[in-house]
Amino acid sequence: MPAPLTVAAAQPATVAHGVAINAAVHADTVRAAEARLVVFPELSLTGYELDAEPIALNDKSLTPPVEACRVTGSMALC
Amino acid sequence: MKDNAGRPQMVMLGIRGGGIEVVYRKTWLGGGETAGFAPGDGPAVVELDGWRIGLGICKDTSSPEHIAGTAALGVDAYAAGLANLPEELSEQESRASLIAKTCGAWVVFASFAGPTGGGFTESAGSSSIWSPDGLRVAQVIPEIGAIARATIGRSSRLRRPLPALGGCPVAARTWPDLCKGPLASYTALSAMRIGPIRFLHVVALALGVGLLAVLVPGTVLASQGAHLPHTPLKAPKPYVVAIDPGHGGYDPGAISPFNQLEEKNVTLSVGLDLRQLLLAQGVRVVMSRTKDVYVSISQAEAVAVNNHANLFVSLWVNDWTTASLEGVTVFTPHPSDTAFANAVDSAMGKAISPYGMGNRGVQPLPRLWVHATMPTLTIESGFMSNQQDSALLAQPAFRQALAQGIANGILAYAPQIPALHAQEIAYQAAHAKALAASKLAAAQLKHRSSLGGWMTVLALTAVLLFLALYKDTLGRSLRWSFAEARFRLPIAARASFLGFQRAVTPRPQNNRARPQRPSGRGAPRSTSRRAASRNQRPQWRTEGPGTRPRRVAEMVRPDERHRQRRGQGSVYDDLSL
Repeated sequence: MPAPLTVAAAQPATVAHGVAINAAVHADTVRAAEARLVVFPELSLTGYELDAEPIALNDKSLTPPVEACRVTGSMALC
Repeated sequence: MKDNAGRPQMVMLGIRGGGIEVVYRKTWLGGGETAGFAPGDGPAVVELDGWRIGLGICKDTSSPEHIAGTAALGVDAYAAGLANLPEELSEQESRASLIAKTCGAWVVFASFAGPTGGGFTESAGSSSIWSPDGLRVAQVIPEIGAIARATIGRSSRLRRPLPALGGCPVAARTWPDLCKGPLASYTALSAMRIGPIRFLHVVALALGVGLLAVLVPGTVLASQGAHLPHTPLKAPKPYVVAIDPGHGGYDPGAISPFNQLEEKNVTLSVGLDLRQLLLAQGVRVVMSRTKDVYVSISQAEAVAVNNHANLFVSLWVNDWTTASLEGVTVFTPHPSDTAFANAVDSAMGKAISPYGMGNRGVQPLPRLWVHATMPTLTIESGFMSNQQDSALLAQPAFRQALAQGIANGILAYAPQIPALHAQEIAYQAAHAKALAASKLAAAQLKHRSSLGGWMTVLALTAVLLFLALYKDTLGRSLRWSFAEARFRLPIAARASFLGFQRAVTPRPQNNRARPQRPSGRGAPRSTSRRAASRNQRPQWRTEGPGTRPRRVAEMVRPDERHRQRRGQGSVYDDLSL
């Protein structure tokens, strides 16, 4: 068994189609969770909006959570 | 995200170390999703600090194939993002527990809270973390912004599923309400994870129930058999005659001067003859002596009394100074015995008359056998002092005739003897029959008892086996109950409080504004106090809005930044609220 792992399951507020806002909320949630692994709900970046625009990995909106994970040493699954 | 063919896919992003990548593509799409999205290519694992973490998105968690495929990848933990309706909360919990137990892995379920698109005007929230034995170790309330948090991998309770023992029907391996996926492709590995445990449980249960079903009627039968058919007949009271051959041992009695015949031998001979004759008639005979021993008067009398004799006959031979006196004499101690004496005297006289011995009749002798309680006679069968009597008494045939006469007299006096004898014979036959039946029943009872004993042993073994097999399940159920109480009560209390608060607070017209409301709640804490308290907190901790850290509470700030960057009003003005 590997070393103990601190995990968190988050259910943050989301705004429909508001990827940038949601990504920022994700970043804050990652910081607040203080966990090595932070798991987010289904389609948490866009909201469960099936007609949302697909997100590209290099979307600048995703910078806050990427940065948050880099700083906190966390891994986010969202 | 899009797949290689350019079709959009529902994915899970992994963000770490300044990078971002697609770690999983949703394979089992929900109803509304199949039209717009392409399915992924199955289970996937992401590694973190040596942990292999299986991944899933919403409906994946209901697919046996997905669960089995993930289990096959050998995962230590499983993480999934969900969006469920509030009424699907119990389903969400069932899935988490099942996945934990099936994969032998910790489960982290992040579940959408608050309203969102796709028909979710409300969603279940209640994100949770589960141990590999299917126990909930952390869960938050449905409210937006809550974070369920736990340190996993420290529990000594961690228990891997039993190894495979063989296949069993697919249907037995799956949680009934999770059997929505294609069962045909259900892999052998999932059978290994779920099947054998349940199969053994079913076998043990069937064994226990079957044996109890056999045992209970067996016990009833055995208890019925315990009532032995005892003899309903009462033994008839036998007719008892006590015979006392006079003298004996060192006391020879009278000795004939003619042929040296000793009285003690004559009386014993006649007594034994009489006994034989009476026994043949079914009379029970007790004798004061059957050998050449001396018995005192009181001892002889005690034999008759103690044996509850109906009649008492004492045998003697007379002796007199005058040699001419001859013939038998019957003496009675009590006048009430005269009828008996007459009957015997008459019969005896008739029996010996062919031999020419006289009959001197019945005479009272109220000094011998005065303590006897039954009709008693003293029979003086002739005179030793008479030559003819001595000669006759020396003849066995005469003594036999004498005994026969006495026996005839007794039978004449007690005519009930033949009837009693018949009763005795009937009783003996019935008693023998009952005894045989009783022995048979006893043997059957013994057989049944041993059968019942074996059944008990088998049933106890089955019960022990059952308990041994269900040990984990029973223990888990108990722990589960505690865990339920531990998590449900505070959550229910908090939810009720929030519901009450919501009821008394004016409700905004549009639900979409609601996600921001909880951001104002929660007691802010300083970072240092929080760090200090974390060192004292238990291993598992439920975090709700009440304990939510300050930074989550301030999550409105990005919106502000966004608004300022765009130089417009609040972003919520853009949402055509």
